[in-house]
Amino acid sequence: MEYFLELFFGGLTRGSIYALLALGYTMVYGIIQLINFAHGEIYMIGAFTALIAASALSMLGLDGWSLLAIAGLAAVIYSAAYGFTLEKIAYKPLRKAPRLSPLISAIGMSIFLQNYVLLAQTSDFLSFPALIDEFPFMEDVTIIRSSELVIISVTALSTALLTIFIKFTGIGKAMRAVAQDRIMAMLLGVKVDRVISVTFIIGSALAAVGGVLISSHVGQINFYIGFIAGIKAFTAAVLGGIGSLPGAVLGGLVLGWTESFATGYVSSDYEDVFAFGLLVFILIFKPSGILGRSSAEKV
Amino acid sequence: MPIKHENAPSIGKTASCDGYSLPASRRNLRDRLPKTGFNTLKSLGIALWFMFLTFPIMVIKVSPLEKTIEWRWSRLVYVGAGAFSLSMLWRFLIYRKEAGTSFRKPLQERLSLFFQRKKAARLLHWPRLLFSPPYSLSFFPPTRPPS
Repeated sequence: MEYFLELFFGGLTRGSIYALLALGYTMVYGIIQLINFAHGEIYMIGAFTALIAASALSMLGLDGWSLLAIAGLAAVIYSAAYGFTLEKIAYKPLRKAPRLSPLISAIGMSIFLQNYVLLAQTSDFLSFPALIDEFPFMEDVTIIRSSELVIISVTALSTALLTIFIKFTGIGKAMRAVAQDRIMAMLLGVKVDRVISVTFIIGSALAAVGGVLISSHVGQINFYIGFIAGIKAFTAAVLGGIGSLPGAVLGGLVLGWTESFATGYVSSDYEDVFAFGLLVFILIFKPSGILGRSSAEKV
Repeated sequence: MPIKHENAPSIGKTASCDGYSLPASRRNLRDRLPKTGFNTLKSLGIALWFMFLTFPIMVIKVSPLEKTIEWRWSRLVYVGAGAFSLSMLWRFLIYRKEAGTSFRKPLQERLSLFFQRKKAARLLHWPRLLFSPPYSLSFFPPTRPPS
């Protein structure tokens, strides 16, 4: 039972990170029907920014939770800035182009950002300092670590805040209006460009939070971490039903648990086989994802 | 009589590359400044933004194991200069695209302009040729080879 619980919480941690990333994918898809393939690289840039900030600040003598807060804040600010700039440079000029053009642009930006970090930093793995200290009250607990507890709690809090933001604020309502019918929202005075920018900023900030937390938990990063995580999070978003926020969270958790249990009970070699096998299985029976709604299109 | 919205772009004014979607305060700034000055200011802003954006990744390199930080400030200058140049080039290309065919002068006019410039250049060129060798020699005087 203890082993099962360990795997359960391991899967929940992994799934939480996928959920944070998948929220960015699903929000952008909901607003502009674009798969932002560079989203994983924003997560990677967030992790690198946190590493740089944490290393520089720890040399100045800062440590503990203040270090995590400042490094996390730097990562969130820079990732949000990258997301905003990415949208302005790579996607906004292609707003009226065929749907394939921004998709290719997204893949191009993903490769560009990977190589940018590779050339400006290094291709080697860098050790990431453990920013989350062990809680004294969890010394005897073996089934879950302090960092895992923090990751799960932060994900739950971020998701709750995002839900409140989307449901009750003016810009959140504007986001829902644009997702429903962009032209009608524009005619009713919603500033669509601003809404799209805010969507990219929020999605990128969530990715940065995920990047900082998982890097601190795993203990090492390199320029390629965003690609793998991005693919998995995209899978989670599709699994849950792309365009649906609860679907993205559910998809992330299902994917995390599948990987964790497959690794624990079968073999770590088959981790991805089980994850993508489940995706295929669910999409065969429910093509719009677990919580996705199938929409009829008039022709 | 056709009704014209006050913010609507009029024909012949399309050479402005900044569009009419700017807020009133910034539109006023654009009107006050000459076009080149306004574009230069915007490009300067973009250069500063990219310098901020690339600062941690491009400038700082940390080694967590050796606990060292390497500051590479020269890269910040390259990023700023590159972003500024590309932004200016981008604005110029958009200006040309929006100006369309009116940007192109008739061939005869362009040829006469070309020859006028050539003539002016020649006038400047000869005195420079005359004076340039002594001027450069004043910096590098010829030395006699050692015997």
